Amino acid sequence: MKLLYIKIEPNGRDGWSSKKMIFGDQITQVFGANGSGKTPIIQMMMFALGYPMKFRDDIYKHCDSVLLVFEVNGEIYSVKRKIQNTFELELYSLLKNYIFYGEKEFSKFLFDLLGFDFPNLISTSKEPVVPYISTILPLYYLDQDNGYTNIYRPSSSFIQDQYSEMIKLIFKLPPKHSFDKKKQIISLNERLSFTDKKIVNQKKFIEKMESEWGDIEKNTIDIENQLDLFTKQMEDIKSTKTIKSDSILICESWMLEARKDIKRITDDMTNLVLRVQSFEKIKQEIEIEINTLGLNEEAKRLFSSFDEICSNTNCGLFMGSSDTYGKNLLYLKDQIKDLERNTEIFEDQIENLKNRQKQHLEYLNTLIEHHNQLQEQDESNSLVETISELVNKIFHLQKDKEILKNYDIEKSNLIKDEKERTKIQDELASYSNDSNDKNIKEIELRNTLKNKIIYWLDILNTKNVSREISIDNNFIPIFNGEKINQFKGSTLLRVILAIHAAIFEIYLQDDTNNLRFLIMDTPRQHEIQSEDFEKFINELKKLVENNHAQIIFSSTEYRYECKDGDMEWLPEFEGIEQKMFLGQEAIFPIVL
Amino acid sequence: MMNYESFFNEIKKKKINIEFDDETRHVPVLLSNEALFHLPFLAITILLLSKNRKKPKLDEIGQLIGECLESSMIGFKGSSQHLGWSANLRIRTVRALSFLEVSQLIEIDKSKQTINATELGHKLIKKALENDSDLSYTLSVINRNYRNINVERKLNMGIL
Repeated sequence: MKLLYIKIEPNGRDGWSSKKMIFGDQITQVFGANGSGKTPIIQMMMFALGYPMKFRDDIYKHCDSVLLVFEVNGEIYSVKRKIQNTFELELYSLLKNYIFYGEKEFSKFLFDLLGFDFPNLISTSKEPVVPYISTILPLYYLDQDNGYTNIYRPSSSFIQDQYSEMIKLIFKLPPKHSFDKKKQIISLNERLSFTDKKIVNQKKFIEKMESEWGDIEKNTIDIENQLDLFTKQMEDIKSTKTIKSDSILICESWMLEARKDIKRITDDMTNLVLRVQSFEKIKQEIEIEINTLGLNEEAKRLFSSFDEICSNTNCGLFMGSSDTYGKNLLYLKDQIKDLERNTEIFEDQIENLKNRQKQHLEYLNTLIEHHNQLQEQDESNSLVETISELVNKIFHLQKDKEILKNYDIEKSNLIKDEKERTKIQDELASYSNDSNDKNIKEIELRNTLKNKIIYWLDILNTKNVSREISIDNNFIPIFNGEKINQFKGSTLLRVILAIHAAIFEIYLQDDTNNLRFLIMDTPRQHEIQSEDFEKFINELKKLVENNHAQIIFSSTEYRYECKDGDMEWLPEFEGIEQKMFLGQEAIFPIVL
Repeated sequence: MMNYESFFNEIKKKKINIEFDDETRHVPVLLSNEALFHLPFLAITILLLSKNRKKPKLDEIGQLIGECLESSMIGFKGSSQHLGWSANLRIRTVRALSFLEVSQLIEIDKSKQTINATELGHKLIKKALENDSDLSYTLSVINRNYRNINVERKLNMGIL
């Protein structure tokens, strides 16, 4: 979602409106003195997206509705929401217009539009419940008062583990408490066994191709190059006047090619033979190990047989070693058996290569013969033979190309299915009660989150906060045992900013994530030094610049210097004491 | 001065050969990375496999550990090092196995020839998997690959 512009419409002739305020592609700074109406403007953005909001009375009295225009996947949408206590929201798009009378309905629509899941979660009163706009937006919006005191301050809390569920939702992880858990597990297990089978079949197919078709190492580019070469040779021979010598040259180039192929196969074979030989070496090494063990054991027995050294059988001399030696001996012998089994597989492969080498050698011999004949033959004969051989070669190469294409497709399918399997397994792990089976994607997320929080804490020049961070199962960071609510003032503010920036940054890394903005309503600036805040905003600028995302923040003291892709909104209506963001479009200034 | 013709004649006489070593495939010199795996990590990996419902077979453990490590550690994925074939790794795996048995973290089922984690072993592996450490992450990945290897084998044999 990209925010395009916002406008507040007046209630009647004396009502207040705003200018049409255009969002920056990257940063939008709402800059104005205290009391100039920055907060209502920021609140209106959230309100237009369906967020429940309480305004001051004069806003209800003077403003009629808010119009927000945004873009999702190239499509323009405009939302018009009535500024009143009951929910009434109109949405216009090129294809269809809608009107919504409840947050739930609109949430479902917007979730769908933004590509979020809409899972059945469990409420605090153990009922099924769905996520709402109002539960998810607090991750993208920092309220002026409450937003900076905790990581997540929703307008209401009614879902079990609401914060952690919302984090999981935006990062496409399965919910912690799903109302449809049993159903989900069954369907996931079915999908898993289906994918397992698919993977095994693909692997079999790929292995079969590799063993049947020798030149699997050749890639499409090699084949294309050869095809080009032969086609060119074909053309050359048609236009040449010295057919005979050209045919000989072409034949020689084939001979060179054939020799290269033979060399390649021989190299492969040598490699395999070396490996089989190294098996022998491994066996030897293991046997040496076994022998040494035997010696050790014997030596030990000799020591203990001498009463002069130790008469007590449990004296502890070389304690613990006897058992281990015996075991080692036994297990190492097993390893040799296993190695022998595996050697056979390699020997088969070598046999295969030998056959291929033989075929290539035969081909080389026919080429040599052909070469000799060419030198004796007259022009027309050599022309016919060379052309027919060329046609033959081109035909085979085209067949190879087809096979290779299928092979490549099969391989990329395999990679895709293996990814799919991991995803299914991750989801199953999330539902499972087995603490041994974990959602690996979730562990990765927690690790990244930890590192990013450290990164942003440093940007914000945060002192007195341990970088020994752990992220608990609910995605709440703990700083070397200290919880967030133990921090106060400036430190707390920095910690909250760092966490939000970290979540935002990780969220942006996935291009398919759609809610690409972070809105901050005036962080209490007396609590943070301007230079630290400036560094923070500059770093955010870099982030959104590279990730097609937007930052919107309001400010009173610190003023960010706008660059390309940024917008600054200033109050433009004359007020009694100062300029205001809202006012009458008429000539007379309004009184707040 | 030697002219063109006498140069070639001379070469023929003296049987001088110039060898062209075209397209020699250079085998890159690699560190023998199998040496990276030491007893503690190998021991905990064996323990991990043997706490599963599907117990690893005693005589396959060397190969299995190699395959699991190869498919789980990014650097070894599709590499030419073939950990499953490494002698060093096998010998170390066996040592790790003996260590586990002596310290009563695993038991060998004599009739089935399988490696089973004991109660103490279960406790230890549970602790290893508890935190969000690198170790627990890697072990989780290995465990999943162990499951995949087993399921694929069964499917290949037509059991499933």
